[in-house]
Amino acid sequence: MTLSFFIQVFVNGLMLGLTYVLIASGFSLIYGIMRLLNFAHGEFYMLGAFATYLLCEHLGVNYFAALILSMVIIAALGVVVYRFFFRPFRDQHDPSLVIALAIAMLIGGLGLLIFGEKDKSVSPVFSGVIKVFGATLSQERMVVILMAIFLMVALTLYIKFSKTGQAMRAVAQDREAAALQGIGVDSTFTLCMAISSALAGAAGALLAPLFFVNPFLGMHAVLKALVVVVIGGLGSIPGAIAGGLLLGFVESFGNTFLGDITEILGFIMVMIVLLFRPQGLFGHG
Amino acid sequence: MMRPFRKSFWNRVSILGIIFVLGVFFPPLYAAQKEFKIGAIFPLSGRGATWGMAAQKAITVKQKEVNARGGLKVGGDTYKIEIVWEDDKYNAASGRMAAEKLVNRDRVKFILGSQSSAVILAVQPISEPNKILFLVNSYAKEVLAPDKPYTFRMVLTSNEILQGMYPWMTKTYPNLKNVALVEPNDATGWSIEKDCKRIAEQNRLQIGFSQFYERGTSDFYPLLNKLLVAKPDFVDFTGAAPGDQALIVKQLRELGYKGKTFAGTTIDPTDFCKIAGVQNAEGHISNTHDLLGAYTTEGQKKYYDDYIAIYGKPFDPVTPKYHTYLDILVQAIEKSGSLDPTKVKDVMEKIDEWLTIFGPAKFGGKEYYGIKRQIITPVYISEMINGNLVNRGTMMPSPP
Repeated sequence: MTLSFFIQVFVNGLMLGLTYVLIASGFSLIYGIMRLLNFAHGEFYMLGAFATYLLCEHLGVNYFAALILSMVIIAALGVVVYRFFFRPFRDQHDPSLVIALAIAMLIGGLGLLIFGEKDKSVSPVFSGVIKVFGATLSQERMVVILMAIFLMVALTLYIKFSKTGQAMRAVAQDREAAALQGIGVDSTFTLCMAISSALAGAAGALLAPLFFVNPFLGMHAVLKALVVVVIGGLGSIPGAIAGGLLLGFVESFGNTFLGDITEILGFIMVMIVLLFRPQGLFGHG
Repeated sequence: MMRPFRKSFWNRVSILGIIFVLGVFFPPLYAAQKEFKIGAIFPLSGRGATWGMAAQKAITVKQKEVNARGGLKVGGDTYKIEIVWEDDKYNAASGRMAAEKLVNRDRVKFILGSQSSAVILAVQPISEPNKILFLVNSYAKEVLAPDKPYTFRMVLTSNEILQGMYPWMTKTYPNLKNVALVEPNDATGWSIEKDCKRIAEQNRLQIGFSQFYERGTSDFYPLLNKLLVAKPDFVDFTGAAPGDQALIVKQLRELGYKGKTFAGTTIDPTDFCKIAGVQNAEGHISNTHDLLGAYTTEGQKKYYDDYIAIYGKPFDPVTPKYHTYLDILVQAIEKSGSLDPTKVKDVMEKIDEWLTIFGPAKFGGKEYYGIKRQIITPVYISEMINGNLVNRGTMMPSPP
């Protein structure tokens, strides 16, 4: 194995991992604060990609404006879904799980009905490749890597230092105590849902020009997100980042050295984590 | 008091007279009120929906054509064709449920479908014992077998397509020696990979790399990075979904691959180029036929016009191959003069040449599948040039 080949495998893993981080971070945030496994998160990702497609390809909106608009649109949708579907079943684990699955199926079905079954594409924003220590990386992938890092840093700083971020952490730790301190639990949940959905929208918008857009993106995305957050720790943003990157590197190196069986490596990792550290790498017991 | 009676009497006489005249002078209109139900099981949602909906469009074009000419003629009767569509979601369990509903509730005797080998294998335990004529697609070899006499495959598989395309590749590009295979990790992908290896060997091509990927994958960089080490002359991804094919081409070019890209399946050139990029798609070889280009039959031109009349532009070039389903079934029923699936099956067995939009077609495959149930039509080969399909030739598949 030459050095440039190794670097290529590493860079592929980083890119793949950041893709997973983008999708899994919002999924993990919701669980951390609201204790809700939002299976509709993958569908928000799909809708984010479609929002960008419609804005860029049909309305001629600039890609970066479309990225922000997609985040806003999907955040608004997330709030609507929370207010009408999740809030009535707040604190009821099983019904909210079923509701999340039902919403995922509903959005997936409506997506197919409205957008059709064919793969759509968003015109590339940047073209050409760059060489990083002998490894090839397309410029549009480089943009996704930088944007993903920016979003993760911003999210981490927001949760750690902002007042509303601190309120989210307080609600996650002890909902009743937080309420007694004057923190609005419901408004915190609404905000959490908006941020999580915006992240899904951002993931969809960022990855749309790189890959393709179709109504089936959601299920695969949510499955990967589930693997990532179980490895990293349900509800932990650093866990989602670590889990996503770990899965990306395992898949990239697995593809190189093990070939066809790579896909099951993620599930093997999940089993090992559940056996030896059920709360995940960064989760709390 | 008499006037209302007389008026209503003459009204009734007039209506009966009109019905009589219509019955005598327009028998097809009158007879077409009889309906003939055909079941159809295709993936209309889920990852296989691209193919399922293409099949639905092509079959509907034929259905409308037959109904417009008065209906299906069986003996002295004429039937309007009604198709009961069921969605198998590209999933065996859903396909099985759909078949049970079609057979037990809708009482159909003919089923068209599916795209998925798993669905077909799940439906056959219902269709074969009930003597339901099952016209299918899918690439798995075991779908056709001597103990499954009621199953006919209406679309070419990778076995037949590659028997046409690989010899063409070696003849057209004599320097091609080393092939890389990238196939989905499911029954379809495994079956295609086997066909590719066998037919490549017959054509003195060497398989330098072969790996499966999970459907739903969008980032092929890790796999392709490894593939490029094998330095292939052409990369074949026949089993990949249309969008996956375009992504593979795009990412191969990004990683610096300069050789040929190849898939023994049909693609929509517009969608393909949008995803892959026109420059990246240049020279891509596929089994797509441009119905407005060279080698086009009158039937194909008519199909194109009928399609545009129903669905409008743009034309979907993935659809024509599904036209044979209802086209041959209609011919077989009318030739047999019966709606009995056994009699129709016997006719399909006996007749050596069917007229399809691709020209004359026949059922073959006795040597390979053990039963003559595989349709054999010409294989079309096209190349992407400046974002457009250019027909390069046709080949008849030669048996292994």
